[in-house]
Amino acid sequence: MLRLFKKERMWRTGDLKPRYDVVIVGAGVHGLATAYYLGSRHGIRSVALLEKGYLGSGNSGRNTAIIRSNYRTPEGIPFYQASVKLYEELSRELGWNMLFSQCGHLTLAHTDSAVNGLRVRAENNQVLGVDSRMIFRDEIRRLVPAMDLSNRPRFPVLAALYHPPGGIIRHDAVVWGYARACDRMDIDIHTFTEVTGMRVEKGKVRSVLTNRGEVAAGSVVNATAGWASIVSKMARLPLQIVSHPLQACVTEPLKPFLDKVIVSATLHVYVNQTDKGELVIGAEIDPYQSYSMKGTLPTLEQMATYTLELFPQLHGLRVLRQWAGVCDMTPDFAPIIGVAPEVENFYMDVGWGTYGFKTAPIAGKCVAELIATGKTPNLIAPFSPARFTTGQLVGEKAAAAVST
Amino acid sequence: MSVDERSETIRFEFCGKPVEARAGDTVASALYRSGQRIFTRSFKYHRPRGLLCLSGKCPNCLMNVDGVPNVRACITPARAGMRVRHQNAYPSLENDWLAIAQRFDWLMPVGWYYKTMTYPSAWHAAEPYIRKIAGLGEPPPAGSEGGEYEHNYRHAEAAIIGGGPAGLQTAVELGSRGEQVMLIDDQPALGGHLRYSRNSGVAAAELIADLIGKVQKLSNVEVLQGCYCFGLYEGNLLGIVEPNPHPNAAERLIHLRTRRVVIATGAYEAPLLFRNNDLVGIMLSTAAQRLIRLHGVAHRVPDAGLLSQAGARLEWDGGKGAFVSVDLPSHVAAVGDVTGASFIAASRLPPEQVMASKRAFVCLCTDVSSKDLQDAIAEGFDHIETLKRYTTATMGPCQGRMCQLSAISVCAHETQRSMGATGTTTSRPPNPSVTLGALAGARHHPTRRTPMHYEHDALGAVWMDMGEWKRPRFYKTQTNSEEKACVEEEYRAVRERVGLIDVSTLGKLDFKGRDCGKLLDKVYAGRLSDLRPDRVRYAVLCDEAGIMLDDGTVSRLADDQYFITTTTGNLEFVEQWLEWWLVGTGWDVHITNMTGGVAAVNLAGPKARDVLAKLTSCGLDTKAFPYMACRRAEVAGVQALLMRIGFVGETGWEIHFPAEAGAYLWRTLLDAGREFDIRPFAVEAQRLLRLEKKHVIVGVDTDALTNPFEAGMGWVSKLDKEDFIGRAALRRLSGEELKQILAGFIMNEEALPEDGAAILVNGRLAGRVTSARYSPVNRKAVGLAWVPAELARPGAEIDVRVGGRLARAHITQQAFYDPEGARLRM
Amino acid sequence: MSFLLRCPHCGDRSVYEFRFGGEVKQRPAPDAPEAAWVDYTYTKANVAGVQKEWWYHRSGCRQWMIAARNTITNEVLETLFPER
Repeated sequence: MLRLFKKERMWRTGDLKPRYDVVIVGAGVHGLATAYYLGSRHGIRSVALLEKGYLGSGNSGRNTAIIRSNYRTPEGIPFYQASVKLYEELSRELGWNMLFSQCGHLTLAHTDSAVNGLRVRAENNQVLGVDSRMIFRDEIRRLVPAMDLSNRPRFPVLAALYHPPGGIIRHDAVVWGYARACDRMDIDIHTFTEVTGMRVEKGKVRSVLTNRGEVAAGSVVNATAGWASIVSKMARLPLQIVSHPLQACVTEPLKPFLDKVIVSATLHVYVNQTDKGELVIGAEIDPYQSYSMKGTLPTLEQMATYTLELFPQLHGLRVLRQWAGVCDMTPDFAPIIGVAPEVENFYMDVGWGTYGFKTAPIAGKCVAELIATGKTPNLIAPFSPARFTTGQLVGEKAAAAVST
Repeated sequence: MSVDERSETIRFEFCGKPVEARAGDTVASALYRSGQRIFTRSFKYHRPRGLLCLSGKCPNCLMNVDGVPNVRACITPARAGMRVRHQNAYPSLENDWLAIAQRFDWLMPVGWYYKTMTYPSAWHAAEPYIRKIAGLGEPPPAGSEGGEYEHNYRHAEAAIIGGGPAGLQTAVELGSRGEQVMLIDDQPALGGHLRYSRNSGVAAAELIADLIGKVQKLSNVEVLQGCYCFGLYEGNLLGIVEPNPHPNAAERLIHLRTRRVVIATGAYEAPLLFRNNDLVGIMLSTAAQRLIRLHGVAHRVPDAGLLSQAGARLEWDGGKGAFVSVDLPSHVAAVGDVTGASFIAASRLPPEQVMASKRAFVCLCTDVSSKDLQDAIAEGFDHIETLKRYTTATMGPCQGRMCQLSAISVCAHETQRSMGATGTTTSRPPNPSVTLGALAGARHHPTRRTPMHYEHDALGAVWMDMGEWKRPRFYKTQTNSEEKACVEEEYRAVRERVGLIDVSTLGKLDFKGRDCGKLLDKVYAGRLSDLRPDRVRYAVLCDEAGIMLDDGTVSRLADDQYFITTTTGNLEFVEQWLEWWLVGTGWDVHITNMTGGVAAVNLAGPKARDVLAKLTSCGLDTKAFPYMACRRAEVAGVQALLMRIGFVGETGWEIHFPAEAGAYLWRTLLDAGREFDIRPFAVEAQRLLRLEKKHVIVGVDTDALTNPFEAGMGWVSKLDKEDFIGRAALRRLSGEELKQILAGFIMNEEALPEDGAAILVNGRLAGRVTSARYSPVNRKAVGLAWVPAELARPGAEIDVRVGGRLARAHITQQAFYDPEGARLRM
Repeated sequence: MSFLLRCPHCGDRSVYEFRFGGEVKQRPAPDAPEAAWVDYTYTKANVAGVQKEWWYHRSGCRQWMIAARNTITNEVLETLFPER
């Protein structure tokens, strides 16, 4: 209780040191989680996080904060499941309430083929121990009485994949909670520190150049999401990534009437209502590559159109803001985690596309383990950068809530 | 427009009581006249709030009007019969039980919810209660009717936002030069602040009258009165809302594309920070008037949201006491008060005085006080963006208009930085806020129907969606409407007699030119240049990774003409893919998309030949018209392309013909088949028929990573071809050991797996069923499934999940029906 | 309907009339080593700046064109039909 009235700084700022054992580029949730697990699980505390903007200014503060593990593939499911488990304990572990609301998550199917796609997920989820099942109109109506389940919409809802442990979290709080925990371990967080280049010699990154000077590094981690290609290029490593904006918007608050996360792949929209009462609505990725973070009117109109297909009574509800993040899309919608043989101390934690936020704890934990032990944890082995040369792509694309 | 004292009074209802209003009244002005002083209760502490801005910019008069929540009463015209209700207060605005929250504000310092309830169980217990009291207006009930909205699209050389003196002046200047100008003004009448400022005087009134007169004379200047611009998007696209454009629409969203934008949005006033600055009546009290008039204390804020959206940078100008826009993009200009040009630094209450008072509300939308901001800054949220996210100041319905400047000044003061160094938060559209209804517009969702659509309807079709197309799933009969029985009847008709299915949704592309063979050889995995005229070949399209993208038939109609079908969903992609590979080759190929203009049916079954022979003079016996041949011929007087192919595994013809003859030929074929007891069959029966033949459906049995070798169709790619798309990958794959294979299976017991069911081997997840149906021939369920390659041998046993338990099945090599394909060639 | 692309046939048109076709790449010779094919198939320059890229005017003349576009600002500097 006393803590409620204590005014402690969440994280401190300081000068760049000349050298760190690990330099992490990008202080979003992935970078912060990696730093946190390096320090807390492996005792590696000579770690710097370099962030070009303010803390949480990238996708960590731009996503729709949905957390779930009802993925499709035997590679994806255990990985996302491990992330949900970490998220469940994270508020307690970090002593910082991230408002993780496991309110339940519904993926809607409006066509036969979508029903079959969801069934594959339900089956695989159940075999691998994830709470997830197919439900039909009667049960959907009980869970989401506000939704239009009549035959009026152009694509009426036929069924849904119901995932009770799925939900939403306060995304900024995750950033702040990890940052505070890193700070308490004397890990340095450098905001407004933009990486401009890297000195690569004999297959290793020796140092990182920034707008505030040069930092020598034992290892370097690329955790920069949509900007991953730019940072990788500095280490002379091309990637398989294309950056696409992803837009979202938020409405004025209403009294709570929707306590499930609703996703429709057919309508390319997802909707949830926050504890403040606002509706957060997300779109599919923009149909063209771009680093621009300006919202567009057609996408805003699409979000509104599809939201009203599901909740036509909300026509008078006002949109307050729209924004965009930049997603690092890979050919198979699966991430790229690991080390490329060409540069042995350059670790990639990229290619998260639209799924990055959900996986930050487990990705950070695995990358930290990889750095500390030199061994690739089983959970991330399928996501190795080498898979493109061996043709072992991951089939998560078929389950994406977005499509390219 | 001002209130007309002589006009007749109208009545509306406020919380069940009648309220009188006159023409020109807003809901708020009428309520105020009726004695109402409290208009809403605040978000968190339920403090009483009264009229503040009277311009739709603040959160203090949000009400429910005719069921729509969060309506700004101060800019909503009063209409007879409207039903207005208060919100966020119970039981009444004057006596709100949750006002007790004010007593406990000390328990809720900024960020209290992050610092408490860190145990998941505590948070899970508390969250439902927090949700109960969150939010503002009540959502309209499910099933309530939506308003009507519409969109339109306009173009102009210049758009001027704001009809005050600066906007009018610019309109006259540009208009006189002959430019096509649109002037967008959100007020009921032109004139801006000169309509109501007391000190504007007679000269100003004359100036305005003169400018308005000039604008009205210019036929090339169009005024959009009472319309607000909420966004300036890339490519000079303006989003504008016109309320009540006509009695049948609530709002119209105008998409205005212009070459230039002139922003003349002026300035507005934001509240000052002092103790209890949020009290009801504060803006109207003489104290506040005196404060403003005698002490010159006021926050005037340039309304620069659109400039910011356009990419201008906001820079603090100490002399003006305002953030002014600099580095405007070349196509955007600013005139008038929005530039801050006429501003002089206003004297303010000294910051220390503000800081000492914790009840100075910075953010009226979510009840954030100056003390909350100070505390947050002390905790390290000292960047204006993190301060905003941590305290939620500027994130409410006012979109920061009332609070942004105060928040910045508190932040600057606490961090001992300048206003400029503190900076502003990013301005994002829409600003002002805009309804989901206006954004969505009329919500058109196209539906594609085949030329035989209404024939199917009359035959009892039960419909399904396939992309934008409607297709019959099965036909109800007079005696039966149950899907399983109907499908089986349709199935038996095809296997035993003859059936007819509408396949018009197939993509259809016509290829003409000398080099068609070259293009097809390059893009398809198979060889098509050596296809003889009058022959058909099955072909698969792969990408450079060797992944199957689509399949279909390729018919050679002449040396320089091919006709290709694609799957229903992939047509657009395939057409664009082929066009793309054609670019830059210089080859003589012309691709025409025939899909909408050509109807197609498949007539199949042992009696198909007998039916067709009644309608065409084309030779149909196997010698004259062998399997995988095509002919152009008349059928019932209609020019048609006939292909002898057999997706369903029986003797049959796919007949393509002009769409306008669709219904006629459909009926004629059914009539001709009556003596053979023909039946129309639909998608479900077709899926069963083809499954018994183990014919793969791309996109159903394959997914985004399937290559032809895994799908058991390696034969479709001709690796000895010189070059084609996917050759490098397919050559590599052809030499690699397969990990998984698409295999057929038969259930060992009476159990029917669903499509998508999991396959287990030794208790571990090992694959999935892609399609499974009860096979009348096998008297067991059969299906296709992805299984580990080592199990893809006849007789190997797998476990299939059926209804949550495991059922045994075994792998088969051959098709489940007529494995030799004899019936196709009969 | 946001930024505009100048179609060489149809003039300035909203980007939403077009389909994006990805960055322009040189396809390897048929006998190129495997690494070149893997590179061509998967590796992306993902340029932050001016990029040459493919666009198809889906709701217009239905032609493929090449545009030079700044991927940070979405400013389109040039559009052209590729050489025949």
